[in-house]
Amino acid sequence: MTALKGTKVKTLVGGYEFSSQQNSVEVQIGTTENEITAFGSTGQEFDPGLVSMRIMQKGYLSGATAAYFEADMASKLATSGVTVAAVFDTDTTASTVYFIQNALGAKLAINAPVAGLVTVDGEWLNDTATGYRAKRVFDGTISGTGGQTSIDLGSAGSAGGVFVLHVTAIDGTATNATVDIESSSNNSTFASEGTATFSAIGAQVVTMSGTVNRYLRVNATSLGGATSFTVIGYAYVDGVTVS
Amino acid sequence: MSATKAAGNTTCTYNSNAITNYCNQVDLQGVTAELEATHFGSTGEQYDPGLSAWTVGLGGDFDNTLDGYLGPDAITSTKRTAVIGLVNGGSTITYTWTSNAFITNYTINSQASGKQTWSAQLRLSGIPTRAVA
Repeated sequence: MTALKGTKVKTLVGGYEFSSQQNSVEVQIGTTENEITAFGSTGQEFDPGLVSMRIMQKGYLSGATAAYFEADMASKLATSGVTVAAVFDTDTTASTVYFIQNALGAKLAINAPVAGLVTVDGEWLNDTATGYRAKRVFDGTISGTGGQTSIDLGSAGSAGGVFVLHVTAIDGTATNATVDIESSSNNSTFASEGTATFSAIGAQVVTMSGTVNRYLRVNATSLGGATSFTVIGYAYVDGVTVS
Repeated sequence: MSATKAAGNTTCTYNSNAITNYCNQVDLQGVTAELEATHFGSTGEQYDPGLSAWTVGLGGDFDNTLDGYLGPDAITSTKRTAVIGLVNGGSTITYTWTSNAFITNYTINSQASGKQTWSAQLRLSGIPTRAVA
């Protein structure tokens, strides 16, 4: 097995990619334990309880505006609603993504040691729904309409899912730009599973329902007048990316 | 008395998936509840054994295939079969929990100046089946 460089990750909070400001990310999925030991037990017995997901991001104080992690985290502390994601093994097509759809800003720690750098640590927690495991569908700049290269999930899902499109940069002005998430059973004929519509940077969440076929791709159907936009899109498919 | 190197002599199977080559750490722990039975006539603290509780800590370098085995179950908290194997000489010792292992803490970590790693804590319900082959 090959060890993956720690730099091959991306961290996303809404419309911001903080990879250039951060040097550590950790995803923790925790499950509570319910003891079910009974008089007839030969050893302590347990059943799994409820699941939670945390995403911890650490980095440097790099700026003061909303495009920087300290400002963004400070504004979202004790609130929820932003989509936060960690993308691992970014050299691999369809790499693994863990995301929290309505993340709660749980913790902000700013450290300033006299002999070192000012560092910013943030922690996100799921609010009502647990976090999700997804596969990256597209990561790059789109400067024209049309379908992008597809990924293969290996199997279709039958219970829908969620597609998230983080729009992190727009060149020019976009008014109601649209990007479809499409699926196909044969990697040839694609049909839309939903549309992300945007006019500014941010995270667009698209609910997919019913059957989602094994091949997924993004298809920019309108640039909304922009020259280009930079996006990272990933998809959680129920029963496929999470069993 | 000879000692056994861990490398090459430790195996781990989760839900029928061999994850040995994704692991560089296996910590299996069985802890017995200590039932204190000290009484006024005791000359020292006295204990009786209660029931044992088992966990296993696993870890290694992150890999998408490994994540495919553990990640979904960590989110859905599904009980699976786990087998820890130890090879000593010509014998293989196995500890097996059949459909009684679930992930309680799955962590993926990446440091910019390091590598991507994973770790998981499995709660093992009940006592294992220990076998020597």
